Amino acid sequence: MKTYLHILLAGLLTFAATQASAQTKFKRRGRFVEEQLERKEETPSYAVGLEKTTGSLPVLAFRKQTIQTLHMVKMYETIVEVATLDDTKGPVYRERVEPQVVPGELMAGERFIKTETIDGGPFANETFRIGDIEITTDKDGLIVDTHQRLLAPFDQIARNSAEITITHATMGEKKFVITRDLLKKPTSVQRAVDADAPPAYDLLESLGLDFTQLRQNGKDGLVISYKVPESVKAGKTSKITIDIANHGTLPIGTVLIRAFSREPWLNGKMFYFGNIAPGKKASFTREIVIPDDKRTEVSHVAFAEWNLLGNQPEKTQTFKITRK
Amino acid sequence: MQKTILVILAITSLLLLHAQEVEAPPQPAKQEEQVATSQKRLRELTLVELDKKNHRAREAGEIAAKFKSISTIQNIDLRITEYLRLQKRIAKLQKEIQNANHRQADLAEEIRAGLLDTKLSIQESERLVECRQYMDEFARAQRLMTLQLKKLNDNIQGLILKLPPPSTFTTRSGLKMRLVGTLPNAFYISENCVPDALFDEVRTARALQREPFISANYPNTNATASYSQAVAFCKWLTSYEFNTYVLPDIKQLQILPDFNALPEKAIWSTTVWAPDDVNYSRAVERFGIKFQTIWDPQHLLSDLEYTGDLPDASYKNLGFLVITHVKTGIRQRLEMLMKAVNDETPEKETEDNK
Repeated sequence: MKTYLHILLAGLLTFAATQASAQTKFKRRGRFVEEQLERKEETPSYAVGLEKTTGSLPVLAFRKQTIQTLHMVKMYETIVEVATLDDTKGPVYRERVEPQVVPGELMAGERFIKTETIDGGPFANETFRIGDIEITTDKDGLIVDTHQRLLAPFDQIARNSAEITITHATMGEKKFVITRDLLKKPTSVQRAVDADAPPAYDLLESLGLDFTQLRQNGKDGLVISYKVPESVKAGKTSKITIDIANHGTLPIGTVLIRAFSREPWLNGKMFYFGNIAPGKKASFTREIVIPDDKRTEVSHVAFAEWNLLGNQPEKTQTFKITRK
Repeated sequence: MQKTILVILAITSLLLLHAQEVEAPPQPAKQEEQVATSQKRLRELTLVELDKKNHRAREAGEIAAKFKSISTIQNIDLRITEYLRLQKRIAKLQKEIQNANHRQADLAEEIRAGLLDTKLSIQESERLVECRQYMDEFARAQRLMTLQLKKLNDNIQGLILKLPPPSTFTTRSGLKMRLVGTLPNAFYISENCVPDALFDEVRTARALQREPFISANYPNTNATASYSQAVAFCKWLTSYEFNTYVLPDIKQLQILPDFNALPEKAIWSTTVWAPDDVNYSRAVERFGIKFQTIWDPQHLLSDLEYTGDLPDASYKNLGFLVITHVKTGIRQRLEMLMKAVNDETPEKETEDNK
């Protein structure tokens, strides 16, 4: 009896050892099965960009977002290599190793992170900062740039883009790029966008203006009228509106008017009109902020036009503004 | 019978009348007398020419002596006046030589014709030859004197032009101009900004197509003019003064402090405003706009000494000065003194020449 038990125990131990040896030595990864979510993190965030509008005031649109960070792992089949007796090759004992899938058992592979952004709709009544200026969205998550601060960087004719940084008290900052493409190429020759760059929005497009280069451009027929205040109050704001109308038979392309003045608060103001079809009109308004400088009582400003055919010096008009 | 007598008397009367009309042929003695008179006349005329020639020589000598003394005169205007008076005397003398040449040419012709007379005695012939020699001598002397006077005149002209320009002068339109800078780069600039009284009057006159009324004195308030208007004023001034007047450029304005000529107002210049600003230069290139440089040493328009503004801008503290070449002052002084000398009476000249 004792001997039998010893033999049985030895056999069991041998079998266990064999199995254990088989597991540690022969388990390997097989085919890919699936990705599994290990854990999920959610971070509240927001998105901001330029909203398509018309008129002279850019509009920022804010949307709620939830940034889901998914910690994923790739799962693979578990393969075990089992040694069996190969009796096909005659009486000599030979082993044959066969891979076998361990049913119900998966092996973890590479871990990776997936980020998904879930749109949460307009971000209404929320406060953000651009520089040191606090702005609050309306019920539609929009902020109308009534003081045209987004137009200001592009009053430098040489500047074609500006990076804007928006900051939220808890959700951190977002950057996006506003471009100003004065001679837009047709869609077929648009340049590829860098995927890693911050999102870009064209200012003129957002204002509903078309600055695509035309093949045919009219020469005559553009009528320009100005609404320039004759007098302004120091320390206050006022507006200058330019209305144009194309009375010609051809479109007039990429119409642009710039203010020239010795006064920094007048100089450089750009008025955008884009392509004007025959019979169409357009209008653009800029806000001017009159300084409290009492030295000069009179200011002069000239408005000069440029279109696809080049500058139009004969259309330049000069105005006098009296400060009170 | 009576009839016969009457006929005879009539015929006799007729014959007597005819006899009076017919001259008797000249006698040889009378002819000789006429020839002698002619020769005498020629000799007398020759002597007259000699006398005049000596007078001219004395005058030329006085002119030369006077010329030497003028250089010692310190006062430039007085010196120029004396030079001009001298030129006037030279011109008069040259005229006299010219007239003498004509007279002597006629006289020489008469002498030549006289010498052809075969009935001349040797003595008479010798006298005529002597007269002819005088004529030749006169001609040589007059040619020489003409050359000398021309040379002296040119010399005087050169000396006048070399004299320093006047430090100030007043234009026909009443602007007081002063000399600034160092020769040969000196120029005249208006002492004050163009006054608004003159500017407004010119603008009104041009609009009405009439001549402007020019005042001797203008109140010292500067014209509030844009650059474009200032340029138009200069064009008018140039045509009115018959000399070129323009606006100064910045380099010309920058020397004014060295001559204690700092203007009280900001001043337009012809220099195009070109700051070192890429944005500005691209904008002006694209839109075809130009700013003009304003010099504002008193900082009336801004905190900057130099600024640029639109050509159509105008401010009450911004005026303009006009400049003209140094030759304008020289020419203007010369014209004024020349007129004074030309208006002098001969007695005045004689009085001054003593």
